[in-house]
Amino acid sequence: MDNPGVYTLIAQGITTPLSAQAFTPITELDGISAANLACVMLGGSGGTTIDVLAQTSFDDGMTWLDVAHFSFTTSSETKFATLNALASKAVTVYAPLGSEGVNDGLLGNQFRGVITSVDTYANTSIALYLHAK
Amino acid sequence: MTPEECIAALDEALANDGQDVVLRRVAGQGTASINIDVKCRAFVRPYRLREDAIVGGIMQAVLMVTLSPTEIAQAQWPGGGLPGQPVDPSIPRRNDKVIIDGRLRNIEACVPFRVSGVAVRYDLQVTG
Repeated sequence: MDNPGVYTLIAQGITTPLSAQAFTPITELDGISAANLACVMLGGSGGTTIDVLAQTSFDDGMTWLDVAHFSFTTSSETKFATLNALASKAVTVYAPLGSEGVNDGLLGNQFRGVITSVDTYANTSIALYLHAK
Repeated sequence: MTPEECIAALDEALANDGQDVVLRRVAGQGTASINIDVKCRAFVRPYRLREDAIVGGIMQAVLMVTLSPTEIAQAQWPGGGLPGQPVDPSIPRRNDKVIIDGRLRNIEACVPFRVSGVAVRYDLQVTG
């Protein structure tokens, strides 16, 4: 693939609530066949929930599709998911990820992160990493 | 020279005579801080000692660090950010960090050197 490696999709301190805040994308990932996603929450005091989406695009950022959804509350945690585009997969209807989970096998050539947080957090950060292979 | 030629010449010089450093931006604060790192080649040169002593005659060195934009662009450092930022986030800035020979140092200023509007070199003033 072009440009394999580890990329930071999100590294952000969280304070006031965020409503589906999209971050700028990582691009030029043509040929990606597998991805490790790791989502780290540090801190966690004050707020209620933080939902982090990893999304991919097949059309140069016009449309974004959910590939992984990570949910956090008020404690430090690291969560991860692996996505694979090489395994055969039957036709599947795309559905946005309203709760924690993955849409496996869906790897475009751009990725971005999206954060939604509820209530005001203090001393809290979110990182979302992509290892593109 | 075109910007691409300038960058290629700097990259060749850095590969031959530079050293490895780590450019770091820190997101978040305190115990919830997150390091965003990229490995770069750099020229590191002592510039002077700061005029003001840290304490009792202990002086702090000021270093000049020259970086190429190549590794920063390849890594798409510092990654995804909030859209609409007024300054290109890939340009190193004050209070970013550089790890030189294992020691964490602070960037005091960054001057992008541009050719035809394209940044072809970053000169950093670094302390610590």
